[in-house]
Amino acid sequence: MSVIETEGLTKRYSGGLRGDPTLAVDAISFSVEPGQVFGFLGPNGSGKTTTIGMLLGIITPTGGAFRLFGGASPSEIHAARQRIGATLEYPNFYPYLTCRDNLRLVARVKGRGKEDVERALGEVGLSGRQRTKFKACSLGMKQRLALAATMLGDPELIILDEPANGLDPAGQHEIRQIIRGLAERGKTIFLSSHILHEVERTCTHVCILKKGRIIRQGSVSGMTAARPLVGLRAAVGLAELKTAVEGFAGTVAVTTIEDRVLVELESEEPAALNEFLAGRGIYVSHLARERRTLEDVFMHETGASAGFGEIQ
Amino acid sequence: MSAAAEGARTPPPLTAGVWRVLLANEWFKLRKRTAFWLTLGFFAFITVMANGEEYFDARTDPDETFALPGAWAAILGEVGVILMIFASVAVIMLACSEFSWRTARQNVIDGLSKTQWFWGKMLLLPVLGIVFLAVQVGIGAGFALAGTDLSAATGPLVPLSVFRTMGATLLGFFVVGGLALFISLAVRSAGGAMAVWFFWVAIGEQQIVAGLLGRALPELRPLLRYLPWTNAQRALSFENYDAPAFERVADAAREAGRTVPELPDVSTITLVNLGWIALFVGIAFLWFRRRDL
Repeated sequence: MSVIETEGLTKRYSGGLRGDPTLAVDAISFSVEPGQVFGFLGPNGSGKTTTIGMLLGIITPTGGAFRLFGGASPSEIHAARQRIGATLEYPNFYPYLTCRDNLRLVARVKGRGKEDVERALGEVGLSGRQRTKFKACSLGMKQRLALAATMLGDPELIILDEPANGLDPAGQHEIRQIIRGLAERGKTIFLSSHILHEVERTCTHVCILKKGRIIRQGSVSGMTAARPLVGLRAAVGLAELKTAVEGFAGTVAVTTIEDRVLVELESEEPAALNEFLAGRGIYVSHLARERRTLEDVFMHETGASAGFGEIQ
Repeated sequence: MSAAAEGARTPPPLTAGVWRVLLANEWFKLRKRTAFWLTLGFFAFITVMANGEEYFDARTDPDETFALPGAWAAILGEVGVILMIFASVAVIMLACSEFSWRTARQNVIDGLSKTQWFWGKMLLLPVLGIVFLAVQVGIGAGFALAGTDLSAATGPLVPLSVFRTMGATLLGFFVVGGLALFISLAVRSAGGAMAVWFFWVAIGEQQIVAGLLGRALPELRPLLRYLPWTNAQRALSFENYDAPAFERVADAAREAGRTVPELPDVSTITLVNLGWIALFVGIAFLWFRRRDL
C-alpha cells in the first residue's frame, strides 16, 4: 500500500474577475512508498506547495484524485491525515505564545500530552528556549519549532516544504541532521527543497516538477548514474573542444561547465574519445570520470541553465 | 468526483472530544492574547463609567435610586449595545489574525479539518458573549449592590427577567458577532473586516438599506426593524421581559404626556434573531469551506 498516491491531481485557479485562469498543477500522478525519502523538486512556481496543500486539505483540487495510506473516502482521508506531520513553507505559529504553548496547542489537536511536547522540544534542541515567545525566535528556532510540531504524535509520514528555507549553513546542517534521524527511524519523508545536494544526500526517490507537470521521477541513484560522464580540458579553447567532442559518435550530450567540457557518453569509451580527439590534433590535458549530480539532472530537466546540449 | 473534492464537501465528525479540544484551544489562545484583554478592559471601563455615574447620582440625589432589583434596567438593557460592539471587535481581531499569521492553515495541517476549524472559531461567539456579559453584569450588579439596602429588600434581587434579558443580549450579540465572523472569514484582514462591519452597523443598515428601501418600497418599511443590527438592539431592552419595569416606563411616559411605548413582540424578535444567526453562520460556513486556506 502506497503512503501517497495521486492520480491526475489537478489544481486550476480561476483567476478572479479579470485575471487569467492558472493551471498550477496539471494532472500529476506519483506514488510514495513506505520508508521512502521522497524529494519533491521544481523551480519556484512549479506547483510543489500547491500539490502538498492539496494532500494536506488546505487546497481543494479541481481534478484527479489521491489516496493517503490507501484511503480515498473522505473519512479515510481525514483519518489518514492524523498519521501525517507537516509544515508548509514558513513556520506558522501564534507570535504571542511561547514555543511550548504553541506546541501544546498542536499536541491537543493530535491527542498528545505534555510529555510529548517536552520530548519534541528536546529532539529539536529547543528545551532551553521553550519559554521564548515565537515572535522573538530566530528563523532557525522557528524552523526547528516547526519540525518539533511536525514530529509531535510520532507521525508515519512527514511532509516538509522547504524546511531549511532562509537558514544559514549551520542551521541547514541542523535541519539535515534531524531529517536524517527521522529517515533512519524508518519514517516516510516527503521533502520539498531547493537545496539539491541535500536532497541528493537524503532522498531515495525524487520527482521533478515544471510548470505544474511532472517531467521526471524515479530513484536518485537511477537518475544520477544514467550514463558515463567525463570532464575534459585541452590546450585549445573550450568552444573548439566542445565542437570537436560533438563530432564523436559516442557522445550523447555535451556542455561547458566552468573550465572544462562535460561529455555524456553512450557507453564506457573515454579512451575511444581521447583517441578520436587526438586524431583531430587535440591533445587533452585532463580527462576524468565525473559523477552526475541531482543538480545536473534538475538543471537539465527544468531548463534552468544551459544544461547539456543534446546531440542530434 | 475525486476523493479529495468529495472530502472537502463531507463534514468530518464533531465528537464531544473534538469540541473539548476546540474549546480548550480557543480559550487558551484567548486568555493569552493582549488584544482581547485590551478590548475587554475598554468595555469594562465604559461599564464602570456608566454604572458608576448612576451609583454616585443616587448617592447625591435623594430622588434617584440605583439599587437592586430596580437597577437591572440600567445594568442590562441598552448598555448591551456597547457589549455587542466591543465583543464583535474582539471576534474580528481574533478571527482575522488566524489568516494573517497563517495559523488557520497550520491548524488544518496539524490535523483539524476545515469544518472543525470553522466551529472552533464559532465557539468564540458564546465564549466572548459570556465573558463580556459577565463583566457587564458583574460591574453593574457590584455598584447596585453597594447601593442596596438588603434588609429592606422585598422580593428577589435577581428576578427571572434578568436572565431573559441576558439571554436576549447574548442572542443579539450572536447576530452581530456572527455577522462580524462572516465578514472576517470573507475579508481575512482585521482592518478590512472592521471597516466593513462598522460600515454596516453605523451607516449601511440604518442609513443606506433602510433609507433606500424605505423610499423605493414604502410598503416594506415595517419590515426594516427586522434588519439584523436594528432587530438585535430591539431585543436588548430589560422592559421587554419585565412587566413591572415596563409599567414604570409606561407610567412615566403617561405622566410626561409622551406616547406610551408599545411592548414589542419578543418572540418574533427572537425568531428573527435566530434566523439571522443561522443565515450568517450558514453563509460563513459555505464561504469558508469553498475557499482555500
